[in-house]
Amino acid sequence: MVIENGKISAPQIGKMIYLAVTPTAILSTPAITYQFAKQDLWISPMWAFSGVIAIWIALSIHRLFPGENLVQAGERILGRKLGKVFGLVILLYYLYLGGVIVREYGEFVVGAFLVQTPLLVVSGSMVLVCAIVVRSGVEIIARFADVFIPVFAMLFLLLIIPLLPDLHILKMLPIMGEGIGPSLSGSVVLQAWFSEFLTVSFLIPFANRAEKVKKSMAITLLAVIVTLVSSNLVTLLLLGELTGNYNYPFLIVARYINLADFFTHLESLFMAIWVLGAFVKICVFFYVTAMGAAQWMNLREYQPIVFPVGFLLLLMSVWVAPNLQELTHALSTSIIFSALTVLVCIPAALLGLAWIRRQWGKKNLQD
Amino acid sequence: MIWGGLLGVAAVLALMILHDWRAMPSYTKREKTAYGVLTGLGAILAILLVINPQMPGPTQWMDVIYKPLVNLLEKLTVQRSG
Repeated sequence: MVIENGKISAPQIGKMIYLAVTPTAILSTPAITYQFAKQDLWISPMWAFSGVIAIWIALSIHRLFPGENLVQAGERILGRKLGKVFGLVILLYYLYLGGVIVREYGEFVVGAFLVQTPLLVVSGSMVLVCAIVVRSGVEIIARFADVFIPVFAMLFLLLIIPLLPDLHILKMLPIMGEGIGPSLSGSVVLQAWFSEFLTVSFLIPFANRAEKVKKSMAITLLAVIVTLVSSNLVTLLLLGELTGNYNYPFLIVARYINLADFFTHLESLFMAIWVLGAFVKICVFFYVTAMGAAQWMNLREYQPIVFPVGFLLLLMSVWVAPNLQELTHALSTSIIFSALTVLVCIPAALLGLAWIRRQWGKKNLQD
Repeated sequence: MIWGGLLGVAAVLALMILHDWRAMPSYTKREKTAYGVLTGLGAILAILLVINPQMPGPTQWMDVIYKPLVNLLEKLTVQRSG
């Protein structure tokens, strides 16, 4: 069933996934990672196991069932009823993660900039804009990613370069003073973000040349790792042991910049990065939820249900946590494990099952 | 406060349905049903959240499921910082 007529290119998928992973990772992970990894927090993003596994699962499933996403393949592998249950779990989890992202966006904007504005107004207007974009189709989201990636990269460099003279290399010593243990346990938090790479499974079916996606995903993974290593490194070298004390260390880093008393308050640049990035990120998650839900219900097109799904997304953003502390706590505890379960373990089991069935089927044919 | 919240929810839903009303005749029956069910679910959840904002949500359910793993992780943190 064709539910989306748009075609996107492999680099566009890479850019969408990059923006669907990085923005919130820059914002909230340094503080949480620091609790585990201390001065090794810049090594942690290199342990991107779940990212590699998630990409591999998504690509393998697409190879077995060309042109189908994870939820559709699940129905083929598990049969209709079990497949529907599997699809519901994945889609509800995407709705939940979408809610978490909208909430993170809202909490950050309200906490750091629009102090007087109600949270619901900030997150509600974002969901509304995203709903309009999602309704326009996957090509539009892909073009937004195309346009925003250069801006994102430029603003990111604009934040890092003025800081270079103020960094104290000594703050990163001792490197791996206690072996690789601390950096590994610090990376546990990041696995939740890396497992979001599974989203590529929902985008490959729209690729005009699916065989090129593998390469662009490898580049994307590398780009995400480089971005996180550099943002964590800059945070660490500037703030040192204070990194763990802030909710948003990178915002503090941006505030610190002062060039000749002329370039100050560069946190507005960071705000721009954050709004652009969060916008694409919410769009991607919103799109996966709405499109997947339409497929799940065997609809002809997904556009009609975009606004109701958006309303649910907004409610979910209220429902996920009573306040910012609870949200941060959840991000560093149960969300990691649930993301690993739903986005890595369950799809991996599904892939294993598909392989077993395929082998079994071949044997039966030979007999 | 509660009445204000309920009124707000009703206003948002009304605006949403009003916006989609024009396109409604072109939807298939299945799409109309899906629209109705999702909007209904949203309305119920919204009303519950207005009446009791502290209502335990998915995060709390996950906390229960992953309690042993979370405890393990938190022990690690305490060891590191202590």
